Amino acid sequence: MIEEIDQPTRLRTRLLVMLACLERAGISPVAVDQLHAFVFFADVMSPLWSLEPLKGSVLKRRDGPFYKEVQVALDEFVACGLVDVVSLDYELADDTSARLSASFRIILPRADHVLSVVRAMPDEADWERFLEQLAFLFAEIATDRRDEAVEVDATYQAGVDERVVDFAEWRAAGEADHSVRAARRLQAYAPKGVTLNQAEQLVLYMRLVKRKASGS
Amino acid sequence: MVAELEFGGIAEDELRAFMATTPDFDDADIPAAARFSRAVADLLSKRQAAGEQFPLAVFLMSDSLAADVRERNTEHVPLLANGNDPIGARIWLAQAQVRNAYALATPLSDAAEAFQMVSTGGLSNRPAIVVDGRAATWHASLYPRGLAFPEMWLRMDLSDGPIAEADLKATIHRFWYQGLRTPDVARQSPIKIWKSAADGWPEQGPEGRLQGRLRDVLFGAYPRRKIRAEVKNEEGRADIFIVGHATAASGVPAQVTDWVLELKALCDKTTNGGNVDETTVRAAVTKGVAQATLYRDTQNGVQAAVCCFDMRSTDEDDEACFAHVKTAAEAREVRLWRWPLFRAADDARMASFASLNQP
Repeated sequence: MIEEIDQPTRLRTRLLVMLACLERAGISPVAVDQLHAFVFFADVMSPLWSLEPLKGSVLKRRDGPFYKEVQVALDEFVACGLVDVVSLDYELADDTSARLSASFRIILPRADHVLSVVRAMPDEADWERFLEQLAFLFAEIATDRRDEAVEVDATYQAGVDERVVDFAEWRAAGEADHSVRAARRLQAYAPKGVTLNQAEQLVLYMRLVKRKASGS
Repeated sequence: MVAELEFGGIAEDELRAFMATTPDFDDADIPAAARFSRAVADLLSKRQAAGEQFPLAVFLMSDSLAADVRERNTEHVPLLANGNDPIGARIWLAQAQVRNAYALATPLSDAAEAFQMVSTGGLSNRPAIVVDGRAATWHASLYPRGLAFPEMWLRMDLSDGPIAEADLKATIHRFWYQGLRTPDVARQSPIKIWKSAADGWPEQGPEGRLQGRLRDVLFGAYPRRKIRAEVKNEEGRADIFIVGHATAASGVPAQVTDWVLELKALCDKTTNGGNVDETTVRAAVTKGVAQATLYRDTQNGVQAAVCCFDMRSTDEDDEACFAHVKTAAEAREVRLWRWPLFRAADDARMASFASLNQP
């Protein structure tokens, strides 16, 4: 019998699965900004698959979404040898400041035994399937447009800069998660006789985001 | 003016305009191995068009190219998917969509050597596609669990035209044999069918579960077709549409719903151990024929089949199972197919033994 795991452990295990899915989809190494963008999409779209988001809110920053807990877990993975730092550099944020930019890659041969335990946990197979689908869709977005993809997301775009965007923390996801509502609304314009399932709604929504991010 | 928008940052008009462009969504919810099958089939099509000839090629799907090429003698071929690089006589390590690929440096001479090289190279658990190019028509086989399990394979149909009845039935038969026949093989997938095989209790919504697993297999076996799955939970229905390509009478390329499959899980127990009477089971099959007919007609489909996965304790034969609908199904040209899901390996062995003794 597998016992219920606590939230920090759940976040770590799910982050490891996310890194494995991104690696499988060919986003390797993954820039840290893109990783946080992917976490955002995983969170905001998870209710579409009847999965509970890890964090129901995100701080809307000028530089894109950022999850402190994710960054801490990532640093821990590096320290214990599950994740490699592939590049580490500074980039100019504006005329007066710079910020750290780094890219990471999961070391799959080392992480595999952890992942096999995770897969045996209740609900985690559903999560992995969802994250794998999302990773392949995220990979379709041009590398230099993935940050922009978050900016054009229905929920993120509706939030106020430098404020927390709450889509499932205090507010009901059905009301505040505009991304899921938009994805479901696509059914209204589906071909005649076609009932879109949750996976198809996810594909269509992410391709809409891709199109908006690329400016076409 | 974000507040005026109807879906946060996305307007209703944007959704409408996007869907008016008929965006593609037929790759929704397909597993990585099926993506790999599609990408390799696409590459093979390009190489055939380029006139390449070769005896053998092996493609291995890598979950981490960085890890798999480390300490291996490889050649990086990042643009392999474009179809401009020769593929023959090599073992390829590629990401699921073949967006990035490496060839092992040692060229191949025959299949036995290929299997050996993959095994000794520690790559035998990677999903694999083996392409036999010795005949005019290339043969490709997908090994979803890798060459370490050579008995677990699917023939890949590299064409995009209509699928013959015998071919489709053989593919579903292989799916059943390799993934459903006994409780042991059924539980190899994360999508469980049995809650308790010994008691005959199915998991909740067995038809939807069977549909998901069959769809994954069909994606791998028919990589150049569109395959859609639709579930109507309230009616316990699960349909799969296989869409291929054809040429219309006018000469214009067209898409055709080649097959409509209506899936039925025949159970004599509910997921909580309640009894399901025989009348209910018979009615489900009858309804399946009506639904398959209706869906084939509304989708302008060509062929239809009711696929029954029989989870009951008594393995009655097809004749008995379909006696009450045989005439109606023949009149409507709906195929009736059935596969038993045994509750114990012993039952499966006894059924095999009994079939050997049939005239």
